[in-house]
Amino acid sequence: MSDESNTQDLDDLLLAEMLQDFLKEAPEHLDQMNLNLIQLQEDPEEEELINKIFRNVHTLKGSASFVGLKKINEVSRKMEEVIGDVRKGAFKITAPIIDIMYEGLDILTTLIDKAVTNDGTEVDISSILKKLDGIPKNTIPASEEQPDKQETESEDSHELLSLYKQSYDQLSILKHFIYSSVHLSDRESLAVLFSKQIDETMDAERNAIWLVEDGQKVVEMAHDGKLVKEDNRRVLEIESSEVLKRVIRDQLVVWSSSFAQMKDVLPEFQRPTLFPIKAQPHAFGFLVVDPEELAEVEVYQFVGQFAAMILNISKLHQKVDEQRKELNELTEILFKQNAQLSSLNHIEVDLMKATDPVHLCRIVVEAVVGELEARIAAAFLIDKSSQELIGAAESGGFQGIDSTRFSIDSKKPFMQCIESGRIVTYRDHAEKLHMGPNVLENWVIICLKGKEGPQGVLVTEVGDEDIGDSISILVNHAGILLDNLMLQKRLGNGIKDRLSSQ
Amino acid sequence: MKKMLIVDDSPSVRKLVEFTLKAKGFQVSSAGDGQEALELTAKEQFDAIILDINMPRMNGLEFLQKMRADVTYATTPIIMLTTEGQDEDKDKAVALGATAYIVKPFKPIQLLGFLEKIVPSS
Repeated sequence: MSDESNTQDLDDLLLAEMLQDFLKEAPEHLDQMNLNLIQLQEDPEEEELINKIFRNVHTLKGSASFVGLKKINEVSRKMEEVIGDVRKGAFKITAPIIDIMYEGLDILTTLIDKAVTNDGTEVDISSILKKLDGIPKNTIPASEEQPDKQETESEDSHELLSLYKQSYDQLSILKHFIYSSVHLSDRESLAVLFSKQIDETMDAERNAIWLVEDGQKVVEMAHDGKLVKEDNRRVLEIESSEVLKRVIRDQLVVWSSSFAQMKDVLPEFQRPTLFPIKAQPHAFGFLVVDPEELAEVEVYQFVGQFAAMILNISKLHQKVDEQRKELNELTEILFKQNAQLSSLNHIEVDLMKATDPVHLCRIVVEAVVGELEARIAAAFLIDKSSQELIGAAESGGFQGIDSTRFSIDSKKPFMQCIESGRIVTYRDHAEKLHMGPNVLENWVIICLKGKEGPQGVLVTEVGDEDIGDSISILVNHAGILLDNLMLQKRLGNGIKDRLSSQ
Repeated sequence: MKKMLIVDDSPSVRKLVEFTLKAKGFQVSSAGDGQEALELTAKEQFDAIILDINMPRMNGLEFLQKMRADVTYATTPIIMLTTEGQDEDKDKAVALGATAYIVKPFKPIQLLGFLEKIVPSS
């Protein structure tokens, strides 16, 4: 699929660009952290400094995970945990902690230098991770006490604040979703893309994207960043499960803790949470993750909303495609009309060469069948004295035209056409038209008339209703020319008569 | 939103007019002949009618006559679609109360130009 490889290219390009940005910005964060640590030595209780350091490592952690620098991500995450605990008031900053933080900073500096210079030599981070893990147990001076319970209240608000900040930060990751997915228009690729993004950038151990099909079922499209092959897709009836009804019909987040049946629906998940991909009137589907942290719930909700947005865009894509198709169809109609018009032009030139009414009739019927693609056509001239229609010319296999002759009032559609001057068709009289051995189904009778009134009729069977206008243009011209020919004939006869009488 | 009715026996012309008018924000209904159109005008009030002349069952002139005899449609703009050479029909249509006529084949933009004058879209 070309769409997939395009996405891949775009992803790679974006990642490469972001990596460059990261390597450019990272030293700045490290410098700032260095300064902040120096100040913290002087003033270990200063909240603002602790917050700054938290942000330094937090940013490094987030960006590093995004550009795939695992070691930097791991070290900065551990450092963030330590500072985070300090912020929450779990313990206080001490000299040994600052030392370990410096050590972490050194390792980060080395790692980033190596990334910048593309130096592939290994840096061992196990010892620093161990030290960071050991905080505060291994760093508490014997004399210090654990903080007492009085601080519980501020602990709560700190925790909330940090959760909020963390989520906020993760939102920036979501921007990537938009960049990399707006050009996609098929649901499969979108599902895989979402699943992949969650797999790579969030902490959930597993995830899956299920989409609604036919309004009644949900189908597992992708899990853990991979497309589920069509034959292997699990399909569940929405109405069969309270869990599915809740997430799809009510568009609510569903927690495993509140629904015991969850295991029956998604046995491979430990503690799954289902997020609806909201849309009107029912959800497009849902996203399911095994979350590690409650803090990410809001982010997943946002992911669900983004997914809905992108799916909506993909629907718009489809609509645009449909309109394009319609436009193409119309262009085709215009082309067809133009083509008919240009063929009409040269038929008109031919018509002017006609020397007598029968010749003119022949040109008309041949043009109707040959150029306008009618199945069959026959022209009749009116014999005014006997009020009869006399066969003049045929095309397309009308049998026995030369011997066809009938009185106008013997066939109702013909009479109607000549009397009213208007087109009469099989839609006026829902029956086949029988003329000797000929049987016409979608028949049309048009009057050949000029200023002098009706001179004849054209009978034809059309396959395509669109040629009606072209036929009537042709017949209009033929009628006028027929008038002229009759006039000439009369004039000729008149002169002959006069000459003979002299 | 202004409601338009296109009456023509050619599916292509109906489609062309429908598409052109919908793109301009009109609401469009269509009928294949005068008889069908009559059923629609009985149910709904249209702001303008675009009407072909050559049609089976009931042609444009007959339909036009019926419209002008109907109080609710006596003054509704009706644009006739005529084919080249139908001078006689043109004259008849104008005598029967047609508002304007366009000679087929026409370009969508010509139709819009007419409508702009007759039915201001605002």
